[in-house]
Amino acid sequence: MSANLHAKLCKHFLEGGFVNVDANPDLFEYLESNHACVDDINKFLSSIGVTIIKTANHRTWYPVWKQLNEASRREIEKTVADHKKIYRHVIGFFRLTIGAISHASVPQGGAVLRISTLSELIHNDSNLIDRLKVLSARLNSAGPGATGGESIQSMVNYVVRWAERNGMLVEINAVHGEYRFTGKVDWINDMNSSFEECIDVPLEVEAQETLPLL
Amino acid sequence: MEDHIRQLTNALQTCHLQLAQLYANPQGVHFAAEDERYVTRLLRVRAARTAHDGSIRLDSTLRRFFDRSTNRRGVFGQSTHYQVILDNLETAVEAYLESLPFANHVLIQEKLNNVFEQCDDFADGMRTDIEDFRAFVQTNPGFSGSTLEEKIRYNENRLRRALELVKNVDMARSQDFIERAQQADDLRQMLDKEFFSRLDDIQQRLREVAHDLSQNLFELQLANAEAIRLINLDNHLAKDPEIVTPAWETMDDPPQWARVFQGIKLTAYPNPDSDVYGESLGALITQIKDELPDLPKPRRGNEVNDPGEPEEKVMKESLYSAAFFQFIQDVLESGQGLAMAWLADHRAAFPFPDDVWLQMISNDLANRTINVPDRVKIEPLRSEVVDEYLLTDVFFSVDTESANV
Repeated sequence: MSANLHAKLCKHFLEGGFVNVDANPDLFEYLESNHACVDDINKFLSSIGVTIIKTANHRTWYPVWKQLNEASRREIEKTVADHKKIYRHVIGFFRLTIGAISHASVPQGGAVLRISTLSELIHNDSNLIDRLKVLSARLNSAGPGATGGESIQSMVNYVVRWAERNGMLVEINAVHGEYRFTGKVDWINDMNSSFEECIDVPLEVEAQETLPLL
Repeated sequence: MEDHIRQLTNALQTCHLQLAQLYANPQGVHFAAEDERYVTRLLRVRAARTAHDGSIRLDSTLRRFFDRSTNRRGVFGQSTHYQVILDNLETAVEAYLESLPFANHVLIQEKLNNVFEQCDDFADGMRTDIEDFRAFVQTNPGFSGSTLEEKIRYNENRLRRALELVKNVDMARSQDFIERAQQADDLRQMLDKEFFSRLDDIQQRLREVAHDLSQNLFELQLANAEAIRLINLDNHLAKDPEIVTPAWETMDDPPQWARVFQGIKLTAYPNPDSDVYGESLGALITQIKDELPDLPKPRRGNEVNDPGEPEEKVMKESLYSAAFFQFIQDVLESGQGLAMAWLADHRAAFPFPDDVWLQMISNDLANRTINVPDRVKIEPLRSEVVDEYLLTDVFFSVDTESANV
């Protein structure tokens, strides 16, 4: 079993995959309980200059370039350039899903999104309807593909499929319309933190103080 | 007493529809005339009461019983309920002490039983409510409420009530009450066993539930802060269309997330020589069908009286082709033959003039469409006729050297 898991992990990371505690529980648990495995995988990946690290919330492992050289810098530029194009859309999509996610408030790796809950929330909030229309229009203008349609449900389906195509969601139950956020979302949240450090996002409401424990 | 309970439960069962309606409408119900006898029965057993506006409302004690049974709000948190029991306990203790001088054993025992009932009500009720509530908190950390703000408000309220209950339980250990309880041996033993000894357990359970609530609240507030950050970020990006994200790619030390390895597409092929794949590949190959696709059928016109599919046309073989084939067979058998001489002996095979036969063979020769095996050699024969050198016959012979190869 461990040899299979080891091989599975190596292949997964070679393909640029993310291993999240909820989305990939068996792989994550194996990594967490097996430091020797982490070392072996890093040894394997180091032959192409890659290593695995965790996101800031410690819930996702993912591969990164180990050193900065000409080749890796070109890859970094490509990654950042690609992501800058869709960054606004990603944040807009995350904004829509607040309140529709199980076991979390904002998207994070492993959280579950049910389409019916998302649609209901949007239907009941005119602000979210406007957000959805803007996002749908942005995605439509960003590239070829089917349009979002006119109805709220069709636009919701459209943005969810877009998120799925961009590796942020994976379908877990087609009957109930349930999707799980992948570990890529934890990676995006790390990018958010970097972004907020560089720009001055005004805080409209300050976070409340926590109550002391008894 | 038992008969009384039976009558009471019968009355409640008879009025179950009205009871359900009263529970679902806490602000009161104005029943129709046909429900009057049920309402009268409920009022008589004090399961319902008439409110100041003339509506009928469910008795609060019964409401709390239904709340607990349906786990809707939980009695936990309504400290006034327990405060009432504690007040009643003090009253029962006083009543017991006042009955002692009368030395009426029946009366004293009755008063002691009242004390016991209050102790049991308090301790058992609180223990059950706390455990029900603990189970709810542990399985529903987000609590009720559709928004984060509502969830935080519910958790804060529950936590506040848990803390109030801890205080209430402390009040039960008031010095005055303890002194009063020491005044009679039976009473002291009863209270030690049924009340004071259980208070420690209750307080410990309450502390644990309050701890869980506090933890949930802490996490909810963190979650709320995260949600607010995301909303603010989205607003910021929406308001400023010219915003430029930082140039992470040009930094000397880009952040780790920017160094993400996008991955490579891995492709591999099965090794047909491998023992591992040999049988599987063989099985796959046999499953692949190599059938020709069906040719599309010609579309017929959309006629009302569709005559159906046209008959397949069978081309008839020409007399010349049949005769020439027969001639070549004879040449192959005999080794040679002259076309005109053969025709002279086989008029039935080709009942046409000689020059037609010769002309058709001549045409095939000229067009290179003559159909003979490779080993058959063909030699046109010409003769001088008047001033022309005309084809008069064709000699066919089998090349014996190539035939023997």
